[in-house]
Amino acid sequence: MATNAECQALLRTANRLFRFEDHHRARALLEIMSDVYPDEPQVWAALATMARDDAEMTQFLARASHINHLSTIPA
Amino acid sequence: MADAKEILQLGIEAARDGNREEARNLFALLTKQDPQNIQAWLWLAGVSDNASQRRNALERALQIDPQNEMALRGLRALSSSTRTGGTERNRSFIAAARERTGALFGRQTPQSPAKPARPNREVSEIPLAAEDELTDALETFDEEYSDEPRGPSPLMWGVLGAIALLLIVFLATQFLGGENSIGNFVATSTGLSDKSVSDATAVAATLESIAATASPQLTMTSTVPNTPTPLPEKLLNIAETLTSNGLTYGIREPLVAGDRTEKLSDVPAAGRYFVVVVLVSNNSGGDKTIPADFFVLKDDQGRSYTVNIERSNKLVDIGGGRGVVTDIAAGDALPSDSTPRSMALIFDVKADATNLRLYGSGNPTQGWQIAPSVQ
Repeated sequence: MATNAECQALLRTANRLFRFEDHHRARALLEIMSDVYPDEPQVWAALATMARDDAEMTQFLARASHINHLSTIPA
Repeated sequence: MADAKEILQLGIEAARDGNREEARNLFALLTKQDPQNIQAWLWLAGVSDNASQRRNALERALQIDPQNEMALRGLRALSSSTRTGGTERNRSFIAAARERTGALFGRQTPQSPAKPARPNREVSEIPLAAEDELTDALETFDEEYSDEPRGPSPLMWGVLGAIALLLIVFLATQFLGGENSIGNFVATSTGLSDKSVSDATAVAATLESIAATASPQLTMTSTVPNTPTPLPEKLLNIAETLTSNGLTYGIREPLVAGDRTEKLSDVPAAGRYFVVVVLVSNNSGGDKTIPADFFVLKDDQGRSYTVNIERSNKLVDIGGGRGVVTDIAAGDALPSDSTPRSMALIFDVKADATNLRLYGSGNPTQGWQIAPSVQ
């Protein structure tokens, strides 16, 4: 989960936009978030939900997964 | 940038709707993305919740444009607030904003009849649909902004009152009647006189009456069926892990419910495909393939969903193989080397499912909250 409270709040905003079918602005918000918070996998994961095609979805998922991969399960 | 203007407009709408925190987050995001975005700094100042934040935002705007009149006036108002107080300070800021708005739309405001309207590049770039939007946002600011700590709102008072009433009802139902009566409780725990106990009993009777009126089903009776209570479910934090059957597992991020995942198979989803990426390490001493029913997704409708191994494998395949999207596929054997590996689990979830939680085998009462819905 994103550690930054501001990032979390913005993710909720994006999620709300998405739920209300405002996909264009939801994606615009997430694209800017990916600039500002490139190390937050939730941002990339959320972008994957709005991918325009399979290749893009794979790219976003890979980015999220790559960030996750850098983490390890605590002992 | 078109996206930035859209998000600026989104922030303005949030401010207009009174959602200042969301507006602040959006404007702050824009300033982080582009520190030269003067509109974002000005709006951030307009929705800031303390003088320090506001001063900082206005100063940043002035660094970008030292002649920016709105920023200058805002700072002057802030400086004068130490002498005149917050309300006048706010009005000065609002007046400045209205003057700028009047200039923007080519007319004067009543607050500054002699002020010549002149073009202002920064303000005119604000993608407003109408003057009213900016004015409304600033008026919201005018009404709500205060350096003084605010007391509870009427709504908060209502909530506190309801909590107090529930507390009374709870106490009444806990102690009324039989051996648990308040009178006996008071007598045994304090050793009060008969008179005091009698008074306490009278109070108890009153409370019982209140409890019966407010919520009859909460009154204590001896006819409550003695049915076993299910164990309470504990929701884990995202960083917490569980262990069972030699496997340690956790989630790093709840991923993805999306339309695109429906292309993962020629077989259409009965509901919607939902992806959760988990991290699993095998400490069992031997390679293990995780059974399809090891992880279970549950919803508030009482349904359980198991992993669709075929579609999980397909996600790995179309993603470029193992180690790209995830380390391994759901059907792969997991080496016993205690190394956490990511694995995408795909569930076919009913479209109306809500409050999705992920559980692992051996820990039926502990899980992670994944999503409020699949939408």
